[in-house]
Amino acid sequence: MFRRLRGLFSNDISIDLGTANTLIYVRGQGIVLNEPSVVAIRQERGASTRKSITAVGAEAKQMLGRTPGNITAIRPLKDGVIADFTVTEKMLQHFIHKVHKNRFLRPSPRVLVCVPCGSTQVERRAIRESAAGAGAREVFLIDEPMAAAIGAGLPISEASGSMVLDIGGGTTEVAVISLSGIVYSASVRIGGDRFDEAIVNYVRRNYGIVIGEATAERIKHEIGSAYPGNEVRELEVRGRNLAEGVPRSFTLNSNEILEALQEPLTGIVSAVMAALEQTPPELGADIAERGMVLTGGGSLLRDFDRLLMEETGLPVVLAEDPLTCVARGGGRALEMMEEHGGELFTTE
Amino acid sequence: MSDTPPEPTATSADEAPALTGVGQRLRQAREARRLSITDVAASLRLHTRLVEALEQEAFDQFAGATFVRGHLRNYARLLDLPSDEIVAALADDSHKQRLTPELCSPPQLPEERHGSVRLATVLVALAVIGLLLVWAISHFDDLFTTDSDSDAPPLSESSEQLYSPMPLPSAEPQPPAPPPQPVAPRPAPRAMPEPLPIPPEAGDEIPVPPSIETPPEPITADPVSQPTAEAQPETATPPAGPGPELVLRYSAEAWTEVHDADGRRLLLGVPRAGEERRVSGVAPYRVVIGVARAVEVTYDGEPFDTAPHTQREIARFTVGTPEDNQ
Repeated sequence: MFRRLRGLFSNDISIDLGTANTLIYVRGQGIVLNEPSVVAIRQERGASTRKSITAVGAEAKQMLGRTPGNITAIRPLKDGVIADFTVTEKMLQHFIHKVHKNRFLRPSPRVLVCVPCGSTQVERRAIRESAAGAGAREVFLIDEPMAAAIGAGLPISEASGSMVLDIGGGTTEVAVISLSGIVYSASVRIGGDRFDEAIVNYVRRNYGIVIGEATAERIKHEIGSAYPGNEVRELEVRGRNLAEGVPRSFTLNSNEILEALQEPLTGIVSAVMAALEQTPPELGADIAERGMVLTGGGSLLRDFDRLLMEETGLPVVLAEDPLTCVARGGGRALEMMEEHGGELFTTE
Repeated sequence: MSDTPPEPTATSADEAPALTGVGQRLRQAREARRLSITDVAASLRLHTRLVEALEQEAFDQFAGATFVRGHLRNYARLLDLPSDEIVAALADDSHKQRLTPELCSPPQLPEERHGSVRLATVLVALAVIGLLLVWAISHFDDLFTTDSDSDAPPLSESSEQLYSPMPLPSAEPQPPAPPPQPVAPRPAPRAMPEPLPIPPEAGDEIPVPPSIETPPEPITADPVSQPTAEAQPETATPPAGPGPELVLRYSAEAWTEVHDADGRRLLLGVPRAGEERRVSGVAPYRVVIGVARAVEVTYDGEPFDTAPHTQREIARFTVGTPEDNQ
């Protein structure tokens, strides 16, 4: 009863609980939080084994790879699903508190969480319970590609096929949607993290230099591309030379990064091709005319749409503000709940 | 199906004045590069009809604003035009309004309904809270009155736990205590308290109780009524009953209650500092003292240590055995 009472003072929120970033959309306010899904945990010194949360979000991300022995900065989600239940719960609790200005009452909102369509029942239940443990009054789950399609503004309720490719931090989801339902969906555990990993491995293999994940991410943002462009961009980075054991600086160019990213990119393209193969012909025709829509942070990799266009021969468009599509779509789905009922949501 | 995407609200009338020059700009750029519509369509993997639609700003041929912006961006990039600028120009024009409603946006109705429901719920919740408050206040009032009257046999008899907060009220509500006391002894010093606690046994013990029953009542009344009565208690508490004598000496005010084995209340009151109370009945005695450290207890001539029975200042103990009764 008290949860319900407190719920009156809480807003409905939609959470894109991503491997890389967590976004929160508050009904009537828009995206109010966009923070890395990172938590820094401090282990108390001395005999007690008590752990306390030192930082969450952007602050914790800065600590990644730079922590002393008693602090660990971890990412509680891996491949789009919960890897550390307790820490995820704490992180969600922190974020939910953060988006509620009302400090007087503990917030108890209705929460919609976006889950990868390839996640198992156990993983979904973990996410549901984690959100409930973080103070949610009611928890709804929605498939990420469905939320992405709504957020990208695709006409999902029409009797025509819409294809959406959501490239997140941990997973890439591809789905064909028609009449507010998912006709085909697939999820591959390749995402922005795999791009970073591929860059780290490439640099280690070809330069004998170890770089951190944060550096790899910076390289990806600045000179990463998915398709050979007209200009070659360069970036100077620093890492530890494996042979000498000391930090060295070196220069990477965009063609090298393109080469490094080949493996994960091929994985994503294969998933898209498989989806097109499985799509019923009528819906395939719609997609061939309109094109598929890219969402998610991974789609911001330079010329990703160009690569897909060349590989599939279909028009490909990048959604507006692809990073926030899923969270916005989740928020819209919550708003549409009165209209459509629960048909957009997934069951456990 | 590709020819007529559903756009019932689109009319050609409002399309004409809304031209932003985006299509014009794209066409000029394409012609400057000597590219045909077919070339562009091949590069963008689009139908030539849709490329023409982009140049003519006939955006209703697309399935939504997302596709319009996306294709415009791709087209602009192909021609090396600033794609953000092109899309931004589109965002300002009236096409946006015409295209965005397509995104199955929910009407404002649910929002309002939600608001009214929320308001109603808040009102109901406030009413419930108000009722709860009223109930709580009346309930606590009852509690306080029964405490200060200190004549509630069911409370004192059945649950001693309820008396745990007693020392606090007992220190303050002394003034309320006198009124009932002068009244109570007069009409029925025996009849009133007697039948309530032990109605069935009362008959058997008629010879004994009067001697026991009468003294406690004046004791409780005396100390609080007048300071002059301080001399009386020592004299007015003649030992009665078969059991040994229990002597309580007070170094400070302390709320005290003593029952004997038969359940009779031998003492109830708040004696002041310096007073001494002597009671006797049927051993063993059940004793509750509000401020244990303020009372020195002597049982049958032997000092009794209350410390082991004291919790948070309150001492609860039973002293004596049935064998002590003479």
